Amino acid sequence: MRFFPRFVTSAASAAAALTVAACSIPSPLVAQTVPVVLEVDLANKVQYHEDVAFDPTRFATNSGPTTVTRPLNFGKFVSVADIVAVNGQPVKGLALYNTRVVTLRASPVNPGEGIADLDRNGVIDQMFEFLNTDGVPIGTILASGLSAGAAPPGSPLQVVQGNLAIYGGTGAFFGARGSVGQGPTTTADRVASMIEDPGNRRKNGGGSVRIIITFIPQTQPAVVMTASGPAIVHSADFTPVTSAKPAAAGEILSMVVTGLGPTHPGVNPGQAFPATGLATVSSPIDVTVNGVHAEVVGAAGYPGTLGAYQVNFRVPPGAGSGAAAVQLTAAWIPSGAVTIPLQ
Amino acid sequence: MNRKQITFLIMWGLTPCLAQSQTPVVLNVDVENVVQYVDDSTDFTKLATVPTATTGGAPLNFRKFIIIGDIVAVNGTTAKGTLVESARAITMRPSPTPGQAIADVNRNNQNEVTFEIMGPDGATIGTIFGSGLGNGPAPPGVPQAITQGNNAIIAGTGAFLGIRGVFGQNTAAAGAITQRVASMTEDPANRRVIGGNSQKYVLSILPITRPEIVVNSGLPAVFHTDFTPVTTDKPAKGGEVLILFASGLGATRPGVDPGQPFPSDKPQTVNSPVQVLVNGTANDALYAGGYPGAPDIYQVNFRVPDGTANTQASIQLSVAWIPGSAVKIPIQ
Repeated sequence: MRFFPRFVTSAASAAAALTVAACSIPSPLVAQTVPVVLEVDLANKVQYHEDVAFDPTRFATNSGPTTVTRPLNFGKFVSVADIVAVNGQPVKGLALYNTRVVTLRASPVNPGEGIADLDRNGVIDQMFEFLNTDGVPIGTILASGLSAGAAPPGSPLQVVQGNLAIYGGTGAFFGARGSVGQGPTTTADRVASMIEDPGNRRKNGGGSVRIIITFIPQTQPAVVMTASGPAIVHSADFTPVTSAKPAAAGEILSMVVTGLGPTHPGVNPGQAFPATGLATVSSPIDVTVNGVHAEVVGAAGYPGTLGAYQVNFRVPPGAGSGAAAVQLTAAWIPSGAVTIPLQ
Repeated sequence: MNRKQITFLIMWGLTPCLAQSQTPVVLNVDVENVVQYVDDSTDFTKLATVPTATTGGAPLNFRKFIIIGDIVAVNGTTAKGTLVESARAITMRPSPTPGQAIADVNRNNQNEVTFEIMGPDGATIGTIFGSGLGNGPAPPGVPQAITQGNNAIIAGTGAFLGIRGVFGQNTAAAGAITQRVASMTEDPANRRVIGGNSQKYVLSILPITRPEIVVNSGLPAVFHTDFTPVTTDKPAKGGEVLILFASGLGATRPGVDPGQPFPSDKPQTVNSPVQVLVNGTANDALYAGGYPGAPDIYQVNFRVPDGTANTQASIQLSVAWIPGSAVKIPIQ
């Protein structure tokens, strides 16, 4: 990847400007922080129940599918599933739940159900570790809460059950806050005993479900603005994209952005990207021009800077002409749109 | 933040904004019928099967247990809801007796606690999630009412989305006693019949949003019912119904997707309890709902209390017990 040479800005100054804006007194003219919604598809989801709690020597020893005898309440189980897609985009990854069953009902019907003001099924910790399709880590979202029952107020309307809060994240989701709920279920979880060998989970099969993750990111990607507009140049000669020299469909543009998160190889927090060796952005990057997806040719840390990145993309055909909105996402976290002229 | 940045912020009048956003909100949560169910059975098929009161076994240390209780009030306001705690006892003492772990601190367990808070009508307002170390002294900087526990509030949903904070117990309050200890073989359906104990929790939370009355060109967006603004030329009167516009009131019923504007075809009522404080006196709002076409603007109708003094009155919103900034309007 070739970096354009005339980039002079500071990611820190952009961050300071955002801080002031976020602290202004609310008015109709101030945009609210819009959460990011991830539709996460899980497959091969199996619940492994601790039904041999006091004979741990038998754990994970049975190679075939197993059945389970569950207590009326207060049981424990671990769920394991594969993350297969986010917002329709194929990815890899792991969903891991650790659950203590605490079945609560406002009107208990079955023996052993606990009396309460609400319906819930248990105390649950959830971890979602996202990988690119090539296995490169993107980030992890960590949540804790109460399973089943009604979604909390303010949830996306497609959440059908569960009340979990995101208490943290790593990688692209460092510092995330938000909530997790369950969307439509395609195939119910397979319920197994902890004596079953989880090495055969994909072979023995499991359930499929969509999880809805709603979060407020700690940082968002942003195209760096210069005195003359967005820092977007023609990649061929690094001259700015202007109305006098607009972008053309099919050509590659380079833009300078902030907030793209970790790279591989990485750098220590607070350290500049190295002058030699490409620090490739770990998160999936998507660029749209007037809503049309553009091919992303490369995305990497800009050498010698703290938190600035260069993204190269090809202007897609069919994006129209005149003023065009350019927007990018990193790990499905969107930037604001900037405008460039198109031929 | 360096001195230059602070000077810049003060020049722009943003100090009150920073101060307000960092002021914790204290929730006093009363919980009743609190029962600790101890994981003391070696036969999982017996769990939750005994309909009568049991006594939980007490190993020297390391027992696991679940606590369930009913939330009955928040800051003295009647509420519903459920407290659920999942914990592992790890009794630690600087001078241990047999079975206690040697440590530099006095603590009794590592826990995860959820407070799912509902209005009296059973509608969930929001849920607060905490984790930490049970018992022992409160950490530095917490409200004086917290007498034990060192727990962080790690997250929330609903009205408490994204919050941080601390919580602990007020064991000095009247009626605050330890929970009844039962076996996990006891059927939790009978918790209220068999009975439990009362506990008082104190939560000190840092919200990420607060309800703020819209201010345009220095004037608060407070109107008479004919939609003319409340001004010194046309002040409000005691007993009059006023309309204000605000942001940060949170979720509505039936609800919209995050970031979407409120629709115009059906009302979107604010899900949390909304109060309007006039000169510090709180009254329930007459109406609070999303404003059609806007993603985060709400209309609140309220009545100026009779007898409000002829003055510049302070108007402030409180939503889910979280207060916003005060504005001034003229009262005749």
